[in-house]
Amino acid sequence: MLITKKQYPGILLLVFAAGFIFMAGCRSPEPFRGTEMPADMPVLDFTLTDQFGEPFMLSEHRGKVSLIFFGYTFCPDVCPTTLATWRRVEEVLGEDAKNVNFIYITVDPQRDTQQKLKNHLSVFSDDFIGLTGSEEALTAVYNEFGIYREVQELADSGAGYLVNHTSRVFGLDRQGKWRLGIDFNAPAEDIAHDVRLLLAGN
Amino acid sequence: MQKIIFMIFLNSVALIFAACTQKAAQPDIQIENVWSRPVKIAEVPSDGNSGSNGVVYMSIANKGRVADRLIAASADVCEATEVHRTIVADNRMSMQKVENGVEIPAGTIVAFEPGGFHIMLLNLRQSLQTGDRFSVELQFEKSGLKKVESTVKLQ
Repeated sequence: MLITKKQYPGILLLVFAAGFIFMAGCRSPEPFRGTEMPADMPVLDFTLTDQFGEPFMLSEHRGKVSLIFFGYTFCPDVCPTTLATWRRVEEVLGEDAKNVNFIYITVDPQRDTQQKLKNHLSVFSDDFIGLTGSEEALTAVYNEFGIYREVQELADSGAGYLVNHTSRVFGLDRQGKWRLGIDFNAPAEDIAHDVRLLLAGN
Repeated sequence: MQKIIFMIFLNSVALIFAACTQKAAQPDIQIENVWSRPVKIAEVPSDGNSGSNGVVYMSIANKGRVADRLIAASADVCEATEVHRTIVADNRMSMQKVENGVEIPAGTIVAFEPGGFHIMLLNLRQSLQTGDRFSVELQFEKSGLKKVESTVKLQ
């Protein structure tokens, strides 16, 4: 078939249209704003005790997205800042927040009694889960998540000791697979955005 | 007559010069946006050691031409206060007690904010509820004692 000069514009238009449809089809899914973990991360699970004295097994709460933070109530700065951010995340998510486990695991079991965890978390939200456990159970969880934790004795301070620890929040998908690392200081809107992507099955 | 005018002129120059040098010799500390996070404590044992801590954030501006230094702080709501600094690096959080105070260089604003400098309120004697206000005294090396009010906010 011969293509006449008159047909050129029509063919060009067809080529462009096909290209456009092709690109739209191949468009990669919306990216996460947090740091995405490699695809071969394991499914994580643990059993600890919540702030009401009830056992909490992560795998029993699958189907929900989990945000997990390691902190301690004695910490006046970074830990409550993360909880205040989570409170905003909960607000931004609205109804979707019901499908999220907000989990705070202590790095200071010596001082963080269930009562302390309960009081501390209730300031921010009644939905947040505070977990503690035996030294052994907690150490297993720290190891599973690769948590950095270092007790720092302060000789001339009323604080006695401080616990330096991992500051990032772990984002787990509905299957309990570790998918995201969320930096301290990440805006609540960005976290809510990523939670929605995980809820949508991304 | 000319002599009198000349004297007034000289006097004015001297006064302006004096005002300038006085300003140059002192820091000018202004503290703004003082706030704390709410803390709920169950009960305070008789030894006063509630084991619950609070925080004070603020911005300290030095509009003068000489540096000053925040050397101590105190508040009635707690047993003791310390100036701490959080360092977040490489996804790790560590906290340090600031030993020699915090320098407030001339012409700058030093922010005490989450993830950085903060006044740590040790062993709170009472819960801090949203909307509460309490007084904090800040001791500066050159500017002396400054009293401010902290507002408890959930943010």
